[in-house]
Amino acid sequence: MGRTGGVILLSLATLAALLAFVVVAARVVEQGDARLAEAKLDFVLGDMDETIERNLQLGLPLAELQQIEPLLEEVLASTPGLLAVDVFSQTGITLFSTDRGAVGEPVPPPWLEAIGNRRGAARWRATEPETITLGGPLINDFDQTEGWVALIIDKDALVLPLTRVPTLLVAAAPITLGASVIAGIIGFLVMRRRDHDMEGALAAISRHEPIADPATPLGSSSNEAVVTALAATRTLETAAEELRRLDAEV
Amino acid sequence: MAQPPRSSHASRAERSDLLALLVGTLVGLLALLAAFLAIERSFGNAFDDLAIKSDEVALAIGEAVAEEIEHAVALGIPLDKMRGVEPHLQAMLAANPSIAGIAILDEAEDVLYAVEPGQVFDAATHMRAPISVGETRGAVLVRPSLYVVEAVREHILASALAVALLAGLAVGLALRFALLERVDLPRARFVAGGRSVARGVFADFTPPPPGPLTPLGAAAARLIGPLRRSYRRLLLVVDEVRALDTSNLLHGRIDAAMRPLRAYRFNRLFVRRIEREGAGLAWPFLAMAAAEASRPLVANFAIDRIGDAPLSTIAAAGAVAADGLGAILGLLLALLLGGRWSKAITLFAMSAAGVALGATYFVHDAMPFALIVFVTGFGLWTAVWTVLLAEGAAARRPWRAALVFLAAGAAGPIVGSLLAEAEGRRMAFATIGVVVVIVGLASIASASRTPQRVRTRLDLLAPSSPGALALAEAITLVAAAFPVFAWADIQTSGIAMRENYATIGLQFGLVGVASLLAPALAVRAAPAVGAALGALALAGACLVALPAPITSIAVGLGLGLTMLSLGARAFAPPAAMTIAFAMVLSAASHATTYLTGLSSIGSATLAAAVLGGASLLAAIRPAGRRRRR
Repeated sequence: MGRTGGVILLSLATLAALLAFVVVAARVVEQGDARLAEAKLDFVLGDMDETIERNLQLGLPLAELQQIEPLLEEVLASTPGLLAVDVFSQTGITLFSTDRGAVGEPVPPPWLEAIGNRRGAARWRATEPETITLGGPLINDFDQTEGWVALIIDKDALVLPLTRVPTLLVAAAPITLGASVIAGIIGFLVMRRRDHDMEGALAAISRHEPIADPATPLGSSSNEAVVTALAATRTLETAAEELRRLDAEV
Repeated sequence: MAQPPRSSHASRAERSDLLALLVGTLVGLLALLAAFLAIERSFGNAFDDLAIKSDEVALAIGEAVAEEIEHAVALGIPLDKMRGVEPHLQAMLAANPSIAGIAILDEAEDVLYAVEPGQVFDAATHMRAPISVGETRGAVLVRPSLYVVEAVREHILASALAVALLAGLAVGLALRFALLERVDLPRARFVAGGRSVARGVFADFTPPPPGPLTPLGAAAARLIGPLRRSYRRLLLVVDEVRALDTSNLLHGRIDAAMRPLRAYRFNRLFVRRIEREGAGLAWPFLAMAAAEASRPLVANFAIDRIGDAPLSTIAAAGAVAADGLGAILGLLLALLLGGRWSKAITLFAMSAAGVALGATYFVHDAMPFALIVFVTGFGLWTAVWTVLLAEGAAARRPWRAALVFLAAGAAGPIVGSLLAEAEGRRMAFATIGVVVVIVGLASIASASRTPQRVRTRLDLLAPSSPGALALAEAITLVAAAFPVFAWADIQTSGIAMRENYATIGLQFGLVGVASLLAPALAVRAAPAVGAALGALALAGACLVALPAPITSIAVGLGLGLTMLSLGARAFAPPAAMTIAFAMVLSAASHATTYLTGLSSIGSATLAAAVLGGASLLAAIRPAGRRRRR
């Protein structure tokens, strides 16, 4: 690998690594954004769970807790980005909803799938094309799940992916490019065209003169080769002279 | 007469090792410095945004508490006479990691209720939600925990370290391989050619490949070429003289003239080597790197497929064992096929592995995931070994296999972890699957076409095979590889760092880089030293909580030392099978914790100690009983 190859390798590798870093770091920040947006909704969900569970302690079945409806309306009104709030039974039938048409209807299959896949966690999360639904269980005094609360959120209200990547790529561009240039310079300085012993061997073979003090096998073998080649040249010349003489004689 | 050289290494490869190490380190440090600068200079606003959002979450919680208090005050309960407030606040604090402290103050700003005793409540560090019932009665003060901001910082720092390691590794390895193929080996061949010339053999040697030795090759050709031409001309003259000398009177004088030239050989035929440079390396490297990329995610993902804590041990162990078993069976199939139908096999096996990895996106249960991991390991090892077993690919150039396995083992997991960090685990699996399919399609172009003369290559596992390991060596290799899997694949990925993929990737990267240090620095030791180092590292992590990077480096170095001591045999099928067996063993060690109740690292430490002891015993057996190689 020569100087050009070294410069290209080092600068491209550094550039690619730093670009990858900025993209990964920007995505980590975006995930932080999303976690914080969800933390707020998580609190709303927990608060609502607690309020409904307090009402369940009175002994009434979930379907008959009429005070749930105003609670849902209140949560919907006070939480930006929320599209609807539902309470549904364990069988997956909507009992209360801020969307009146949904009451009595089965909940979307992705919700039940998310509940099935929550693997011991209390909360679940279902992603649909335009919405994200966060849900939590409603537990009665006997630790039995009576039903579920679901917050249906507009996907755009949570952070969309790749919102920060372009900005951060541009912001980090001077540092990224600068580091790539420095890496290229390192490549230029470190990668020499030929080693010292190669230069010596080249000189010896080109000039047909052995090196004075060969430090490496390359120098030593080149010396030996040159010495032998010179001897062979002399031998060939002697033989050629003798044959020319014989040729003249015949 | 030429003097003997001071250095006896014809290739001077040790200089290239150091150069690659130096340049790789420099690039890694440069990338790290640039990443830190980018974090400080370019990410400041992003961190500020996150801090503001954390404050908003805390304020929302404070306002909700204030609303509850207002309801109670509106019912006539005095603010300072409420019962059960502090337990309620305590429960709220436990349920909401977004807040680190909460207090309720009266009108005079005196603390009435607080779950953060001793904390000074002020506007600078706390969010304030007023309690107003007609008039201001007090305030709820909430201190944001900033845990998201801190977690984001931590993940970004780990990503910076992982990326820097990857950059240094990529440059160091690329440089090392380029120097080996373009400089060191041509130099060694040139030296050998020079020595042949010194013995009087003026053959038509293969010229060095394009690179720094090209001028030397040209000069050597200018040295040898005229001699060969002179000799050919001389032979023509001899023929001419012999043809004219019908009475054979001059034959004696001709022979006498030519006799000194018998010391030389000018007309030796030399078969030039024509090789497809690089084709045999890039493909297996990409395939193995893709296979290794999913390693940091396997135990991590498997554990989350089961909610029950004790069973999660079985889920993680099952997935890691499936990976190892798939690899063993994949290697066996490759040996059975012996490199036949190379393109079809590699394409099919890679496609199966890629589809399996992609299917992870839809998997929610432990058993299907274990099956997926098995198919992935099986497919990738079948494909890679089918190519590596192709005649001449790995057998003649063991450093290629070394580079494929060690380099892919170091680089692949870093890439996989960064993918998981950027797009989540499911998408990372799917992305790796797509890459595997693309690499599989590329096999149509680059996998070996060499027709195979043998039906199978199971002979490579026979005790008489050049790559075979003696029992003692196999035990030592298992003992050295076991700590790597127990630490990286189980402890790091499945237990200690489950939520931070970049840090997992960093630990895998450190293990991989450390395994390369022994060959790079030519640090040689008895094979058992590597095994003992791995066992000690696990013991340190278990007993004195040795920092994770030190443990990672120690287990990696241990494996590197042992593999270096085995030479090229460390990269032959028996060694590969032994290493995959060590992976299965690490999963078994983890699974036993389900019954014994030991910690995973404790169980692994015990197993490593037993294996290390066995390898030491094997090492101190009488030399006469050892297999000699």
